[in-house]
Amino acid sequence: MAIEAGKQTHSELAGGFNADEQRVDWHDETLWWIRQKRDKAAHGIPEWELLRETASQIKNNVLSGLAAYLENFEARALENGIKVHWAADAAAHNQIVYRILKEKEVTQLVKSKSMLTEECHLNTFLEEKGISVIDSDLGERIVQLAKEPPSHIVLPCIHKKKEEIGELFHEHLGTAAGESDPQVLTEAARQHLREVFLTSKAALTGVNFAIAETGEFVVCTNEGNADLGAHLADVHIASMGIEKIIPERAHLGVFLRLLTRSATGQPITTYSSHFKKPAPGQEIHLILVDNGRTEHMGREDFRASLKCIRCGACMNTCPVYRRSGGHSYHYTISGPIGAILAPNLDRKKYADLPFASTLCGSCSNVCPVKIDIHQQLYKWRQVIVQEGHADLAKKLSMKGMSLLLSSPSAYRIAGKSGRWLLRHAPFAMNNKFNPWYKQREMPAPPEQSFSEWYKKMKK
Amino acid sequence: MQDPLSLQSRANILAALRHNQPESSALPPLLYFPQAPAAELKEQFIRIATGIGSVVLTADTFEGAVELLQNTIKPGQKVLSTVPELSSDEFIYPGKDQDPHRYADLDIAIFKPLVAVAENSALWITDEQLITRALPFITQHIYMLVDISVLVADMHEASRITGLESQKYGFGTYIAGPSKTADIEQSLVLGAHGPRSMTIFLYGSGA
Repeated sequence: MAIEAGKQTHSELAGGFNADEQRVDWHDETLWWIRQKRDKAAHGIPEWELLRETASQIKNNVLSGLAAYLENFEARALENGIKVHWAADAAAHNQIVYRILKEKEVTQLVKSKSMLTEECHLNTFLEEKGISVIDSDLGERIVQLAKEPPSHIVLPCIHKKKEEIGELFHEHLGTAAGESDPQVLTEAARQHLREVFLTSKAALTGVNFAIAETGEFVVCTNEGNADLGAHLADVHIASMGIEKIIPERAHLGVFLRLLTRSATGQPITTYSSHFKKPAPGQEIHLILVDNGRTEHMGREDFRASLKCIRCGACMNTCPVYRRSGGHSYHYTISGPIGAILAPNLDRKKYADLPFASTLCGSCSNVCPVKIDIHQQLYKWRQVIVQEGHADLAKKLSMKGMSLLLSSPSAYRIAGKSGRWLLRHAPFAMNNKFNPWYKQREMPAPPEQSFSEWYKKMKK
Repeated sequence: MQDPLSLQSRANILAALRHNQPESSALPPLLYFPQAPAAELKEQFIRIATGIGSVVLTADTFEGAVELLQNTIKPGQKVLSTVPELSSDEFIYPGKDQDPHRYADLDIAIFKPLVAVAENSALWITDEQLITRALPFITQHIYMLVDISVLVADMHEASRITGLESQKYGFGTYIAGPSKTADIEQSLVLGAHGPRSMTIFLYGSGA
């Protein structure tokens, strides 16, 4: 694929992940287990499909009226005493955060999960300015200590073994060498982060839903880290992509029913916190971020991906994600949804991602807001090839295939010689130049093709 | 909104959206499902609360629930109640201080939720009751005194009630169970950053 120099493609990175077969199996099984929990939770709700359809229609309505909803949301939020900022891109977002922190002379920011700040690379930006950022979600803290990006939007360190986490904690948090019991490690993180919560003057959270009708926003966590950070700090900064709007408070029930059941199979997150007004003596700053979303809105075939509520169900079910790991997508959001969001930002850099799919459609089937994910993957492939971002091998093989498939006689000859080659000179096919043979055993070639067999049978 | 860059971004974002957003698409009707009988809701609530790691104790009356509650408190535990009926000395550690940092060593905080949801065992509390917003998160253990009459079937009904004009809040939250994480190899650990346990005292006729 046409990827920037020095950057590896999804298939190259997946190749690295696939080197350890046992690990791949473990990763695959863990995510499939979460998918099964999702199924169990969904099947327990008789009206599940009606919920999905309703959520989808609400989000369609949001997209069609987003400008007015944002204006309304802003007006209500301002009335409620929330300070509202608008950011055109990642750089503007980061500057706004920095300005708020600088004004308050804050040197330590405690942050709960926010894929948007990952998208904006906020941590590196602030650290260069001398502000330390501490991720407080356990999984995010683990990948932060490991100096890695999250590999999953809901389960940031799903790729890590407990022994590796034990080593990190031994090095950074002083747990005993060789300790890998999740209970013990979680307790160590709890103690370490309590200290952070109690000493941070500023906290940053993401936003799951922002309600246009009331100007409040909702943050969902299981750990309680967003609330501990926000309520113990003098300044609470909430960063949200502009697409997080829902029209009315009454719609929230639909989304809170779908979100966690789709994500992990839980009936709801432990905490669904509604921030409407700042507490006495506190400030809430809300940053509305575009960063490519308005442009994305203009692409008719692709705008539905803005409906995403970031549950991660499409990743857990994806046969490619499960066996290639989140880091192979080399984008903040991995898996099928990442593969359709990334090309909006940079079609050249992420030209490989829409091809990292079998187009089986499982992602679209589990999506709680009914995004046509697999169809968008297929459409992106066409855009990417047309714009010339596909790599030479793919272009040549596609041209070759189209010649072959348009000529029955060429097709017959190719089939015959292919079968002959596989029988008599398998090394000509099964070699390192043919990616179909990577980590795969191929079935033995048949003696004859179907049409040869059919002709014989007719006689 | 004084910042000129932010104002410029605002104008650009809104203009780009007005240009790019699709044709108007109607909102679907609000969902409403018939509420199951109280006994069924109660059974469901207890099953789901227990399933996500809460302990549920039942009593016929509020007084009975308070008795159960008092029996679970161990000598020496620091307890703070936000429930007006429980305001004797044993329930007011360290006094009603607004500074949340003062509660860092609190063992138990007690609340009386305004709504309880059967389908997910979520309990709604707002800052109208909280002494300080951090309280339900900073406490080591959380106690919930739940009047069975506030039990509703699902999040649609809960959203309706918590959104009523009469329900004023600056901050409100649904809490379902103790804080938890499964970030290390999907092993469930109760007590991530917030409370390590949740005990629900469900009371009222039929409870």
